[in-house]
Amino acid sequence: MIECEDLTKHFDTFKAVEGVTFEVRPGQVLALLGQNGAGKTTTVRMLTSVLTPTRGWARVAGYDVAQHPGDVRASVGVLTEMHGLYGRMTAHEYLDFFGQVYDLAPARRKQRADQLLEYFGLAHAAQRRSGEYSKGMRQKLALARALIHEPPVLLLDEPTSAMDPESAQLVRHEIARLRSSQRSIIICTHNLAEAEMLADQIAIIYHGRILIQGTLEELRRQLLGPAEYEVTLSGGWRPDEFQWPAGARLLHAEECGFRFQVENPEAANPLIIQQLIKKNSQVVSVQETPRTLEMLYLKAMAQVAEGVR
Amino acid sequence: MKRFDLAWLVAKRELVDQMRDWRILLPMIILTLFFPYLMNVAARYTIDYVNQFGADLIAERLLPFLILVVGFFPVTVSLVVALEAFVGEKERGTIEPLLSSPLEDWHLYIGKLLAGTIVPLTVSYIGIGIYMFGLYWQGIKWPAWNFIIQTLTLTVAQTVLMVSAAIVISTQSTSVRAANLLASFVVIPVALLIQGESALMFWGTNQVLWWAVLGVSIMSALLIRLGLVHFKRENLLGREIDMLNLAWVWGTFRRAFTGSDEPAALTRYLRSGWKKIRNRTVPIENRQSEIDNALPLRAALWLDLNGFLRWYRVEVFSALRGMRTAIWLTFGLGVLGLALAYLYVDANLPATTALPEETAREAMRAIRAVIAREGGTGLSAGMLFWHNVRAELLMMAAGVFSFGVLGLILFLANFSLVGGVLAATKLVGLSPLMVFLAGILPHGILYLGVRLVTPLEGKSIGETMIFTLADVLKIFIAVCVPLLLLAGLLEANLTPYILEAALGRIIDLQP
Repeated sequence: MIECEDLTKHFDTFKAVEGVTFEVRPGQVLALLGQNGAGKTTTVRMLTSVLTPTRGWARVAGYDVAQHPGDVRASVGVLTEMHGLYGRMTAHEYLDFFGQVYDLAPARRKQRADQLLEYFGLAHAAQRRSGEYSKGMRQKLALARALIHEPPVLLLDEPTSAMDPESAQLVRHEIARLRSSQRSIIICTHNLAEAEMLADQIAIIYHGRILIQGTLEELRRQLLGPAEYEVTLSGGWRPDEFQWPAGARLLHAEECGFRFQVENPEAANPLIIQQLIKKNSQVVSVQETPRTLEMLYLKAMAQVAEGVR
Repeated sequence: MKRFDLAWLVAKRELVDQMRDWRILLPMIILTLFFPYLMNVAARYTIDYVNQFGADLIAERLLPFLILVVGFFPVTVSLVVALEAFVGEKERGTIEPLLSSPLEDWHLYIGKLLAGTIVPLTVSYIGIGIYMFGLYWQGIKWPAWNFIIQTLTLTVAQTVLMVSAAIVISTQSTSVRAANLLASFVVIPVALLIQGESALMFWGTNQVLWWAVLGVSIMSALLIRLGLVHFKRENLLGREIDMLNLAWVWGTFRRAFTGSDEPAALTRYLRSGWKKIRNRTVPIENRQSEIDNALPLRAALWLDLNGFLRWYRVEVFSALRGMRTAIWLTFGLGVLGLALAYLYVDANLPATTALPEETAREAMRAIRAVIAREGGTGLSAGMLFWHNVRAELLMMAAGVFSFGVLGLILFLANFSLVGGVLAATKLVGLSPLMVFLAGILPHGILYLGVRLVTPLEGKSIGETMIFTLADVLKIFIAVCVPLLLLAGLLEANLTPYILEAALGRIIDLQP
């Protein structure tokens, strides 16, 4: 469990994070999105008790970040922006070192290291120095380090950056597995497709403040309004003869189709399709207009530029 | 729970890393093997040369000095390990996983300190071993064991001192380059210290070197404590680049010194006056608005007087309170230095009868000149005040900018000198106690006050240094300067009378 309220960090006059409030329950993933320097890393550093909040509070795995920094750090697995590998250590030595730091028994350290290296496909390179690793391999080893002590809370900064598609998928699977094993996870990422796939909640940070947060659906609703659908017909249709059910409205009409917005698709969409059939229109397809996280993010940023937020 | 094994874990990882880095290993190996050989050759030739003139004593005293040199050079080279202990990890991006781990601050700090000490010390001892073997191989007689042990101990103390300072630098620097540039602040003072130690060795006063060992050990302990107190995970990640923001430096210093964000009322009054004058010369549409909160002069002065009293009451005393541990510790060390110097001089100076007559007469003339207030002694209140202000400023500057180490050395030298001089008064047949009570205590009690409140332990670089400097200056201006002035007046105008009353019967005041 991760909770924070009014979490604020100022460096002299610079306000890095201002009044951040959120909660990540066990089995949830929160994606922190934002430009470089928006305050994501500072937030994560406060949640690992590396930085002391200027104001507000945070509890990680039940421990207050300011009162029990040692317990907080023991309960958190962190993947930092930079891999932080010791280039002259082998992967096995590296994991063993952090296993000792997290106070794991020798047999457990070995078991966990073998398990993680095997899972991330690094077993063949376990005795090679990490300085010889590719970027993707380093990222996987760093992630293995974050997981060595099986922490209840994970804070992952760009978990799949520099990875090939297969490795990235492997990591995503692992994050999904960790979520299902009741971990609380925060990922900071610029990979919006990945955030869309993994996150239960999304928070967009801008200049240290959370602009907007919620589930993907809530964000869609808040930023882009009700769901939109696109209907393709094989022949023409007469918009002026069409009776729009409550909560639905036409956005764009063409000769062979139209786009509409609807508040309650479950109720309204069957009525719309029935009408089309009744008027002998041949429905080829009805599909929801894709509204990706990228669109939401860009919309939020555009609103900032326009001064709406 | 104190888990020393975790500190050792940090050290062990660092040591393994160093042993795998040929850029560290190669220079150390070369220095360890080549330098002792060079010193062996130097020893051989020097001994042969001085023996031609029957100066066996020089040869005898040269050998322990060369041990010290052989031990010192590898330490300076491998100091790079300590210098980049934290800042190097920060630059390589490996520090954050460590900082985010359950390791406590002291685990990290002591671990790095151990790793930074073990390598230089090992290399240094191997070098000394090779040098000693070389002496044996060449048939040169080894120095006495007590000298060897003393030199080896001194090498340990100096290594720990240098590494402690290097680690402090490493925690405060923003780049390895900056840390390496600051290394001279470690190497040069220790090189000077070694020069002093070598002088003592050649002088044959090896017993004093044990005090040097003690002094260096105390300074190392102070540095380690200082480093631990100011080790902040946050600072390691917070500072990214070196930026010299003079406006920020001045603003921070002004706030720390005055304890207020507001400019003085008199400043506001003067600014307002200046704007009025300027506005007369510019067209009406370009005129700046005058400061409307400016007060009449009398009110401004009254406000500033109140502000000054508040500053004295709140700021100065809070600075004194904040530094009380440092002040008492420094004072304790001063008294210890005074007592040790007294005992040393007392035990080692020849008896009064052994003093050459002319020297004794010269000393007595000088004392008589002070007591009889003869012209030419130069002991005016102004001179004494200025002399002491300079001494205090020098100590403070040295203390603030060298983590207290140089300030402490000057401070100890000051006290030791008093101790030594008191013991030496026996040479001219005076009672040290009487001289102390009559000649030093009356004005000295005020100097003591100054010494007591002169904070010598600068804390760290950057913001802390600005705060320390502000505190030091507050105390210096508000407490030390008035005391020094009073002490100077007493020393020049009252002390001679007291001395005359106390010692006039013992010393013949007639030239």
